[in-house]
Amino acid sequence: MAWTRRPLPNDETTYQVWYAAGQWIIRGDSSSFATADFATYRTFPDVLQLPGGSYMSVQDLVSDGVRWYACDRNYGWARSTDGLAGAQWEFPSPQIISPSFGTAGAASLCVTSTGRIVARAGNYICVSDDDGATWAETGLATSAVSVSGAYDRPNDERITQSGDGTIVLTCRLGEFFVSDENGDTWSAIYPGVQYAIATVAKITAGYCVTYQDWDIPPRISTDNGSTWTDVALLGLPRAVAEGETLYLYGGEYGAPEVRVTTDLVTWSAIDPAGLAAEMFEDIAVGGGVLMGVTRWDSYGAYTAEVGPAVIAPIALPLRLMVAGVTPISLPLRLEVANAGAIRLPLRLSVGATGAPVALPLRLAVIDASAVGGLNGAGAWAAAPDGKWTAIVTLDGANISTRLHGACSVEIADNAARTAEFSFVPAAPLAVMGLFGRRVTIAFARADGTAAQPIFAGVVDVPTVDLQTGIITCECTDQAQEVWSNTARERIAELVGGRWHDALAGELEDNFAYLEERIQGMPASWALDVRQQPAVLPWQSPARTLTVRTADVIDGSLSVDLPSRDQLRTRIVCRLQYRFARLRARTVQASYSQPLSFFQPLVSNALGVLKQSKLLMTVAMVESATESVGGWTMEWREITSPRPGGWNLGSNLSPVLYYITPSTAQTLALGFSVRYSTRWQQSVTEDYTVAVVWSGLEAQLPAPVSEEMGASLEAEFDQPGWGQDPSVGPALPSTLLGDVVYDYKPAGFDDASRDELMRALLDRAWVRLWSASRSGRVSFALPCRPDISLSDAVALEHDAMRASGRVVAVTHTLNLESGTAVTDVAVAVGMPGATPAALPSWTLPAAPQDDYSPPISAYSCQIGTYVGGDPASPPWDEETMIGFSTNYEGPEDPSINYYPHQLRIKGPDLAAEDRDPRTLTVSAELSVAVPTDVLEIL
Amino acid sequence: MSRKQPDLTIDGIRLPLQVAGEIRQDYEDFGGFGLLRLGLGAAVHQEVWRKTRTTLSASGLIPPGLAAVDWTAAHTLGCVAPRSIQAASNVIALPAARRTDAAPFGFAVDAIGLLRPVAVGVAGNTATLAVWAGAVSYQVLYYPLLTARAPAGVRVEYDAAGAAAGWELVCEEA
Repeated sequence: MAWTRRPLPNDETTYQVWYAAGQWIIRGDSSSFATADFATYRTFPDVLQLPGGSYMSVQDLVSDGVRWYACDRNYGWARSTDGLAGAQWEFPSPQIISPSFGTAGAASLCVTSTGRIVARAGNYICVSDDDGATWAETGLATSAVSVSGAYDRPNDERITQSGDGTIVLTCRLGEFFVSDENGDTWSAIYPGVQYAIATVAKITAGYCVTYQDWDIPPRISTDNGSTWTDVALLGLPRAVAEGETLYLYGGEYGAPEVRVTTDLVTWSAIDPAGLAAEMFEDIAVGGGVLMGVTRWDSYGAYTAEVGPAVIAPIALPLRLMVAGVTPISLPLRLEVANAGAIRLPLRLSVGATGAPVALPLRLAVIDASAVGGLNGAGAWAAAPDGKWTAIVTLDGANISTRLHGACSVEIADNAARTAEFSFVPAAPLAVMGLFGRRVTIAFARADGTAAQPIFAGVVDVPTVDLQTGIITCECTDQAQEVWSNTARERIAELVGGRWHDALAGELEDNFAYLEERIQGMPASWALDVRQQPAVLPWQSPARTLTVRTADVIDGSLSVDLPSRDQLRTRIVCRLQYRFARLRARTVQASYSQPLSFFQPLVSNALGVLKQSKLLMTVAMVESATESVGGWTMEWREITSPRPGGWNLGSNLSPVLYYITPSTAQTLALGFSVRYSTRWQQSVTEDYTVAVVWSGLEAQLPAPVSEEMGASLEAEFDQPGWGQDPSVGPALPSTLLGDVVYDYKPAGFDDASRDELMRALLDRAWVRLWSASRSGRVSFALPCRPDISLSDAVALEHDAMRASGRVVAVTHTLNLESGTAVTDVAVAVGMPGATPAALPSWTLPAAPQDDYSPPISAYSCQIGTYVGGDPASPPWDEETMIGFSTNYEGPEDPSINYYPHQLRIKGPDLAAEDRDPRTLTVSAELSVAVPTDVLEIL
Repeated sequence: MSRKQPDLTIDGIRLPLQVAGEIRQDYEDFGGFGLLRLGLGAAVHQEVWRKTRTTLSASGLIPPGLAAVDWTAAHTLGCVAPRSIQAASNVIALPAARRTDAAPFGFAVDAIGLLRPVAVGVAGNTATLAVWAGAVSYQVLYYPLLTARAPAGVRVEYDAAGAAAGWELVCEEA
């Protein structure tokens, strides 16, 4: 339990320490440095240069376990871009966190367990849920309590989150501020002393507050800040909590001191043996180690001391409130390295339904060393002493001691996880009863520790050896059933990307939906070892394992290069978008003759040369105009001759022509009629878009193409629309010409078409990539049960370099030979090691219909045909459409006479107007596809 | 220090001298263990279980009386060949499965490698060898008591002309 003095690289005052992910950041007077082992150190920035050239000081430093966040109260805030290395930083926008404060930066920061950033800028408490892109002011850190003190000491302005989720903010006031709603609301707590608070720490037992004046004792509250009492410990002006352990620290000159409690009642002192320093300025807890930085004032030389292995408890204040009887699934996965006590204060309140409640909570903590060891270590981290065992349960019963032969588990992309094992039953067993029995398989060290599950599922096919009685069980993780029972919303959430129902038509099964949907994303599906659905992106793996020559079983490395047969250089996407084009056309028919046309032709010298013609009648016009096939009369106007008498001859030889008023109104010289018609035409936009991997196509002698397609049809289900004007949709009227309305309801409109096209193009791009990923690099390792499909491997072997995601893992635990081997297959694509992202796609323009109807499309046929004349041709019923009449006079059998009638023929609809119309678009989109590292040395 | 060579026992029954006037016993390990060789030649030992196999070869005047033994069952074999543990300390842990009718015995090993017989006290499964000045290590020997199976049973031969019986029994730790 003694403290160990650790040498520091500089002789300077140290006064702050932080811990994250195995490394300590120690701040000195003029520099900061990081170390993981106190043997090697590297520089860590304590000032950062802002983009404008000025500098910000790292006044507060916090980590979310992935990166660092730093802030300066007046100049800005930053986050590291190289993880926890802290060598590269960026200055996110906005730098002004609180508009009310109006100054860049923050005095203190905290990243909560939900990933929310809480910051104090000026007096304003702000939160951000999008990593600092936007901020909301949720509290005000001001106090009416007047205080003395308020020295500018490090660490006195901090925001921390306690194990139960409470956020505590201190800012050298007499009050401190807390939020138990993740920063949404804040309240002030006054511990009863008018002095500047130095620190506040909280554990489940309550609060502990310390003051900047060392003579003011720490105070505790066990009733959430309502009442406070002093702790009879002086000279301990600082407090910090780690999980459920609370530390008071400080000490007198030459006697640094740390007190520990977990209940705010019993305070134990950590043995000071080994300490020879002035006092603790700051402490941090991490990795089971308590570290304090101290001052040694005599000569200005300073050191840090690492204390005994005080293991910080881990608390999971999980609160779940569910109404109704929905089954509750808690796939809580907890991975802890070097953990001490772990508390899971799970509270379950059940209503008076009387329903049984089961909480099959199992917590397995795997030694971190069991999942390490690659990267050239050449050791077997899973079982360092070489002794291992397989733990197999069947229906909850451990049958490990009855196993026989080899036990294997096969895990692969886009497939169910399968397992096979054999065992000698302890008693006669009905083999058929094994169907569907629960099976779990784990690899463990021989003493049962560091057990790592590698399979969970059910017996699929049991077989029995009649000679030996040995039963062999083929098992499955029921992937298809699990996915089939997974809601489509959940599948969509897991897979992401674009989707359109028209890609696959009606899918009744959710598993089929998964298989279709995932074709648009560069990802694979599987179940994890807990039988939970998982989508595995081909990029951005959960972790990348470096595997070197020394890690691989000798002679096991092999490579299958990407197959040319499977390569594709282009995917031709056909999209047919079909909809109904509702059309209306309005035409006008006009016919007119002068009265002279009907009057007799008279010569002054020769008398009547031609007899008069029979006039057109109003009844004739009315009948004819109302019976034009295919057209509806909208409007009509008839022109009648005016009554009167005309002398067509001369005064000496008069030829009189009379039309009485009563007769005139029955006669017609002409008419005008407007007709309309409506019809629908099927239009298909036919897109052919080739997605071309130009880089690969240039390498091959000829393009290798594949076609995929989809169709989207906006069905128009108003069968009476063309005939019944009352059937909608109504089209706007026009005096003459065409009206066109493309029927594209929601879900079948242009936006939907474009979404479908993009989803199809996504598929094409993924297909190009998947076709290139046919290469496989395979190798074997001493069993690594932690390797999963979510891992990627960077292989650095004497024989080759390769990188890619794991696509198949087979664990073979041979209980006969004692060998436990993991075969790993990594998918590799074309060599190149160039990244590429799914394109955002610029779609080709929709096709335009260039057809324009000719003028005849709007013209009615109304000719004029006169019989009763020697020159009149024979009557032709088919062609002589219009007004037909005859010269009056005695009939002559040698002359052709025509029926006195009026017939009108409306314009026909051209095929281009009437028939289904296909409008084509062709385009070619050049894309880049990710390539991998693949070098054969 | 003196000791007496124990006779072979099977299920506690001592085989008579005439059966095993000459007897040899060897031990070997068998089981699920082996070495994997990694790419740079490093050896990774893997082991899921390890047992002892012992072979008894004997000859005498009459065949062993093992014809009625049920070889489907496990038997307790009182071994005649001692096994040995050497350690720097004079306090050495002994396996519990050892003969109690034949006491462990031991030696001190001096700097030049000579064995010096020393007294051995046994408490439970811990043997404490008498300290010998100048010892650099100690060695204790014990007679295993194996719970073993011999599915093939005993192989017996008999030379009627010479009135000599030979037999062999291969046992594996159960």
